[in-house]
Amino acid sequence: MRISIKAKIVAAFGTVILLSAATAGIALNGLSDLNEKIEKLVDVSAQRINVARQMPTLVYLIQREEKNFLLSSSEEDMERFDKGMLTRREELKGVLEQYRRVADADGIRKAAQVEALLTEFTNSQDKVRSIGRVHSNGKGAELLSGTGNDIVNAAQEALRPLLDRVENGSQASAEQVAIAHLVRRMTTDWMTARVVVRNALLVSDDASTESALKPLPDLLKRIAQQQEQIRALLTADDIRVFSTFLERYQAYLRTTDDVVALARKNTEVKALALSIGEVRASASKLGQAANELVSDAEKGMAADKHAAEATYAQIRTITISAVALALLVAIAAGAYIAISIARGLGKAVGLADAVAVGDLGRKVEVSSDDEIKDLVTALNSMTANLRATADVAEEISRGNLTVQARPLSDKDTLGMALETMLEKLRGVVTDALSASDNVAAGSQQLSASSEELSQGSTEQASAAEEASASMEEMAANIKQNAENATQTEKIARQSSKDAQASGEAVNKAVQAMQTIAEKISIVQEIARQTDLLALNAAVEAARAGEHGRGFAVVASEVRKLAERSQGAAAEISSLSAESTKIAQEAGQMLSRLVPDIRKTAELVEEISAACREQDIGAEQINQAIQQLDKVTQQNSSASEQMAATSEELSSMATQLQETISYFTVEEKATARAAVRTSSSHAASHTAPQAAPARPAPAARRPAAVITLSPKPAAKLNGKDRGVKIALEGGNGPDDVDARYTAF
Amino acid sequence: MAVTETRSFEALTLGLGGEIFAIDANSVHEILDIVPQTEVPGAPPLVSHLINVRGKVVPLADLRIRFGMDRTPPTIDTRIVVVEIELDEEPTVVGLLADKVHEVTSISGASIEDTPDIGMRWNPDLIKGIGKRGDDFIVIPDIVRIFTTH
Repeated sequence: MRISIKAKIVAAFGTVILLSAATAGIALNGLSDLNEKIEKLVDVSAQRINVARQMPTLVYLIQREEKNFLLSSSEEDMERFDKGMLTRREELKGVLEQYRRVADADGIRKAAQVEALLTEFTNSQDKVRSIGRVHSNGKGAELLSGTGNDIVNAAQEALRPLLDRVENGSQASAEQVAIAHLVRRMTTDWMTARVVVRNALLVSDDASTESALKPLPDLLKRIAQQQEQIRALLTADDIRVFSTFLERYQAYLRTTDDVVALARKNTEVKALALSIGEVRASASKLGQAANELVSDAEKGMAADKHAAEATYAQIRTITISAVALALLVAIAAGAYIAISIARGLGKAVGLADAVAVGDLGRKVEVSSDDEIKDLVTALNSMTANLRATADVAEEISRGNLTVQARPLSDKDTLGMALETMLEKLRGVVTDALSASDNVAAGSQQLSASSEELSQGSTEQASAAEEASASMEEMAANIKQNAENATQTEKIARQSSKDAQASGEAVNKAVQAMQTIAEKISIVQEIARQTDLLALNAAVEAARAGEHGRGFAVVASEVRKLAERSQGAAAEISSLSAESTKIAQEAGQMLSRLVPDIRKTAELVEEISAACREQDIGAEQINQAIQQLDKVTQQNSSASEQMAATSEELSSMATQLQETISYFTVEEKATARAAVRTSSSHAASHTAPQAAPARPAPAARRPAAVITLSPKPAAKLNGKDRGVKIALEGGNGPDDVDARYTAF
Repeated sequence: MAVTETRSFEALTLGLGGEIFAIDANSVHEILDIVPQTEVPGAPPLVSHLINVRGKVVPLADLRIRFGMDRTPPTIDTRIVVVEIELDEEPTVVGLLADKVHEVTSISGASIEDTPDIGMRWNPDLIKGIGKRGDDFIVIPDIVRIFTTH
């Protein structure tokens, strides 16, 4: 029977949801129960406590009102507190009524008790109220300070004239002074009597009042005596005044009697005693009863609270167990579903992993009948298809290209790729076969060409060497030229210097000549003077007559000498002038010569520099030629290497042909491959026969037949460099030879 | 004018304007190089200048003016011949300019001839005679006449 995973999951979750709903129902039920209990707790028990607690408070308040009533001094206050007391009593009664409404049976019974006690308390308090209302001492004091004081003041005012005339008038008589004295004493005693009455009012118990009032009768008696004494002394006018005073004094006495009567009553103390004693006892009883009510109410509340707590604990237990049950069911169902899915998927994953690593020979089965089973079935069919494709690929790998690959659908990329690959492979193999044929032929041609190249480079090398030798000779000549030019340059320089020196020497000579000319003119002058002297002497001699004859001869001789020296000097002078002229000309010529010589030196220097540059250039050319030689030799060796490489290429082409023959393209191709293999082997071993077939370089030179040695590879590896040329032709005369005549 | 003396005498020969003149050596005081001359304004052209000879003022005469010769500037050979002549019975010292002084020589009286009347360039009154010495003619001037006749 097929149960899908969806159905399993729905069933499990449904169970869990139902259990949760049941749990929630139980919890809600318990909560409403709990709510009821709490409501009761709040409405009844709490109110009961609330009402009961008001009772002791009210009892206390009544007592406080009573105390205030007793302590208050004025009538007004007293009325106020009295009314307060009554109001509180009514409140207490109201509260009691309230309690009775909320109370249970026991509570009602206890409330009746409280009511009885309240009645008792009220009765005793009413007594206090009646006694306290009298308020004797307060009234007495009021009378004394109010009416009493007015009377006393009026009486003392009446006495004032008697006292004033003594104190203000200067002419007071002795009698008047005595009257004043007596009046003063009387008023003093009166004052004392008033103090006694006041003291009696201030004490509150009966004994103290009596003792305080004890001196009063004596004082009053003494005052009466003093009045009598004063009356006896008084004049007629004074008696009128005094009688007014006496009337007022009598009024005072009456008031004092009232005050004393009030003082002897002492009602405050009695009321207080009653209040402290009887009333307090009944009040405490009442308070106790009220407190009992309060404690009863509290006890009831505690019981309700316990009941609520018990209900809560019960609900909690039920809820927790229901939740635990739901959890257990959920975990069990989840685990079952998870395990069943994981197991099925694990098998599928194992199969997929196997396919991923290329193992196509596996198949899986699952026991359940659900989506997992669908997945596994699909995977199995995939594996089968892949296996079919793999079989085709294996055939191809064995070299069988005749197999056919069919794609499973138009989306089967692998199948299509395989089909395309097969087609391409067929084409490639066919192409490769023909290409390897071409390579074999081409490599043989390459071998021949490289040999020719090698020969050419050898010739090149010898030509380069010759050129190098010529260049070296030329360089030597250029060097010699450069040296000669340098020497010439030196000589030209020296000549220039010498010519300059000669010019200077000539200049000096000219100067010397000029000096000589000057000196000669001196000689000429001397000669002329001498001539003159000689003439004078001759004249003197002539005048001396016969005696002067000898002297005349001397004078004549002297004169002749002078003339000769004059002539010689003139000659020297003209000669020196001529020499000067010639020397100057020579100097000018020399000075013209110097720049020419210098120019020559410069030109020679340029020649020398050019020669040096030529030398360097020649050296460079020589180096270039040597490098050329080297390169040529390298070319030669490279071409040899190339020949070897082409041999190798040829053998590799053969190998390639063999390798490719592994593939079977079509039935008749197999036979062709076999033929090709054998023929390529033959071609590599029978090079001489193959040589004429290809366009050999020798064909272009009919005069000489170039025969390659049978094994080019061996030749290239040996010491034999270049190409061997057998000009005589190893195979004897051939068709080409027939065209030429042999000598 | 006839030659009055024919005896030989010592004479000083000097060149003047290309001719050679001879002066009696006894009358010659001395021969001087050319010296600074001072022109006398208003004096006759013959003695237009004065010279200083050893502190004495001596008139300088240029005989070429008398003989109508061209006056040439002095050369290196120009000399002044100082002579003493009798003028108005009184010895007078006079300087004569000469282009060149040749020598002191004796002129024999025989060689002196009279001055030819015709063909002479100069006034024959101023010449005592013409002497010959070798191939050259020597003119012997009459100094006193030169100064006295005008």
